[in-house]
Amino acid sequence: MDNELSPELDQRFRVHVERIVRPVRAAERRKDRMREELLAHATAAYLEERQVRDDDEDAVMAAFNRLGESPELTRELQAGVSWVERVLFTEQKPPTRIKRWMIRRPGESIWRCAVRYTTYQALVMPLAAIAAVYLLVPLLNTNPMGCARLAGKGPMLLGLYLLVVAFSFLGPPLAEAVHRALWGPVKRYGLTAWICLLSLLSVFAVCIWVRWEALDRYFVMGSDLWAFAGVAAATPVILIVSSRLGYLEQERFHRWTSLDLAE
Amino acid sequence: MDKISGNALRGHLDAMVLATLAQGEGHGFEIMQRLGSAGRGALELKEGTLYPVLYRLEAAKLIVGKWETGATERRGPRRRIYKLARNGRRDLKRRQEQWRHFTQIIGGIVEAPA
Repeated sequence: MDNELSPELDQRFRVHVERIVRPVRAAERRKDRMREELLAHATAAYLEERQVRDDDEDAVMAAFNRLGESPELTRELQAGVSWVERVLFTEQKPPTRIKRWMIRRPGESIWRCAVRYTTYQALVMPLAAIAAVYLLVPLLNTNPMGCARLAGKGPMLLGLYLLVVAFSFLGPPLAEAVHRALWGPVKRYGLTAWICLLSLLSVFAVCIWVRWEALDRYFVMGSDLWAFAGVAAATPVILIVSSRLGYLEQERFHRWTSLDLAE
Repeated sequence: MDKISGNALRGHLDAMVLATLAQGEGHGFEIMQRLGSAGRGALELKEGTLYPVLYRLEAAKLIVGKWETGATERRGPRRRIYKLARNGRRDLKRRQEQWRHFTQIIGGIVEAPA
């Protein structure tokens, strides 16, 4: 039996399943499992109903009816979630404009997505920096050298800002490359190793440079180097984990959480 | 024959699912089909309610679930295949004994000649 539905019907079944699952307060991973299983069940029920009914719409309604009333099923699914998880995960709200702006759109090139992501970061970062300075000024004022020192580091802060913007731009394509290399049909461990090594060395170099500038260009030694090595070593791990989580989040967003449930 | 539904069924759903899985592993829809055919059409159960039961049994380590692999020709959404765990087999045996005891005692009372 062919289990594939037309895109329109698939969307209709997803909306029905999402109405049941979205209000459940649980971890997204658990909700994804509920979504997939209920969708598989509803699809199978529909295909079974279609064999005994002439009208397609009747088959759809029969499949929905077999699955059960949405609020009741939501309550039963919720009852199986521990209270800790219930407290930790609040109700899933419809996606915000910011989320839509940040997530890669279907069919969009990774570079276009990187430009949008970087624009967002480049605009938000100065605002966050200004807010941080306003919060820090009272603290810095207690130290007579504080404000003067910070003002003297303007070029360093600008350099740092540009570096973060550059990393923001390179982040999405690198994460995409790592994800394809590790989870794509053809595994490319060599490419992953190169990307990881380059990211590690870049972060290490940036740490050394920032420390060098912050110390008025004294040579960096000792425990600082070990701390920087630790930060740099964590970079490939963060890159791999974030590439996977980012991909799953993007997939979930396009398949489920961006569904409009209003009717 | 009257339909069996609601609370009359709900209290026994865990044992019924375990007994169904004792016949062999299966995904949610398959378990529902087995229940339907074993119940000879008398069970009136909203099929979605099976999943909270499966999640509860899996959390209690009575059954084990595994996503089906992509090796099959089947297309469409992924299904999770459940099978009875060793603990589940023991638990089912205990439930069966309880059930026999229950029907023996209650049956004796309810069916007593007037």
